[in-house]
Amino acid sequence: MPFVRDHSTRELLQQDAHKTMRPEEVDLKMLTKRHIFMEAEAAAAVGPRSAVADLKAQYAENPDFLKKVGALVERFEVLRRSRPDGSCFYRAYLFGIFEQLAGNKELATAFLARQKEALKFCVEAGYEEVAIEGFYDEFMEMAAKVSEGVSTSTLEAMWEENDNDRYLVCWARVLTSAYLKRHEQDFASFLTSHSSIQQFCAQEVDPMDTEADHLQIMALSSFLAVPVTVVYLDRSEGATAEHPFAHESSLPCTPIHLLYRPGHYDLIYTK
Amino acid sequence: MALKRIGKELSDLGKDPPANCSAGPVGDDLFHWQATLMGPADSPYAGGVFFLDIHFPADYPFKPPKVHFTTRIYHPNINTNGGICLDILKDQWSPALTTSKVLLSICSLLTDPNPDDPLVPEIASLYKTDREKFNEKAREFTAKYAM
Repeated sequence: MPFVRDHSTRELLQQDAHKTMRPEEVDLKMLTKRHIFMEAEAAAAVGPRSAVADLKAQYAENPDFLKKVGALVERFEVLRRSRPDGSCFYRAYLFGIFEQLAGNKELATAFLARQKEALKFCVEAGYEEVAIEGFYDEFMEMAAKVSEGVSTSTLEAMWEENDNDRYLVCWARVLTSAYLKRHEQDFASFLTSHSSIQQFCAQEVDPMDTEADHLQIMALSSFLAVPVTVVYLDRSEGATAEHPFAHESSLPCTPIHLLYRPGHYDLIYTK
Repeated sequence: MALKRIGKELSDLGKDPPANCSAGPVGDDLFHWQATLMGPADSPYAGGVFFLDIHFPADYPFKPPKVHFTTRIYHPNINTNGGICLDILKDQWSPALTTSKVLLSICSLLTDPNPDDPLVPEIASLYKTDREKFNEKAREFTAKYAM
């Protein structure tokens, strides 16, 4: 599985600030990126349900993609956009989990029981309790509320309220980092451009706009034990590739599906 | 969130103060702190007491605190306005970091400057080419401004 490194818009904006470019070059590049970034800020954290088939229009001019979209439509019906701000994987995966918690009492009980020790787990990985307990509390509170059985529209509304989305994403990042650090031996050999798991977490997991790759997905899905399958829609040859994570989980739930397009994850639902 | 979190950090700093530094609000405004750092013993800043100004943004901890030195210091990564070039105050900030961790990182930066990502290129170049002269200048600044 190749590692795909895509820089978030915010990251690119920051990088550009350090480079010397001709003024007109700066203007155009910065404006385009600022525009993308503003669009990202304005979009709902988790978008409404839309048809996977709508992707056909988006790729009408791109025969390679169009063929793959055709295969995708055979199996998947609905897509939800996750805001493209670098946290799209964490948000889409958590939203998929919370949707299942809302309608599955057995799963909710098992899931919440597993999370009881999570704060301690992260403190033991080196986080200061004072820095992370607020995120943990919010995550547990919302998971408990959702587990009582809320409608999809209530869940959507809760997600956008206050700073809930940021709290949840932040907690997911802390869990991911903590899991990587506590299983350093299993993960260190996968590093390609970082000298240690500590450095990887500090640069690629903890900051709020850094995108998730294979390692982050492995870590978070192992900890949460909710299976997720990433379906890749890219320029590679042949049929759409997919990769299962945490499918050996014993929690009573169905796998969540995420559609990956270079640099971005969205939620998709099977027919 | 911001106010609750800042309050928690403040009480935590009181209970378990980090070595060689202290921090707390200036007056009644919890969003504006002052911090002091003791120059690390194994650095040319030894013996100096350095003051820093900390401003927390309204959406702290999702955005980093703004931190700058109010005491002059001769350092490759700190400019004459007290601005600090430190990754965790910029693109590597994480909401899971704290003011205490930031101060500790600034302490480490005093012991181990990062001349490859300088804020003041002339100081960085002296640090790389003539360490003895750099140390001398840094000690001179420390004696003049921080003692």
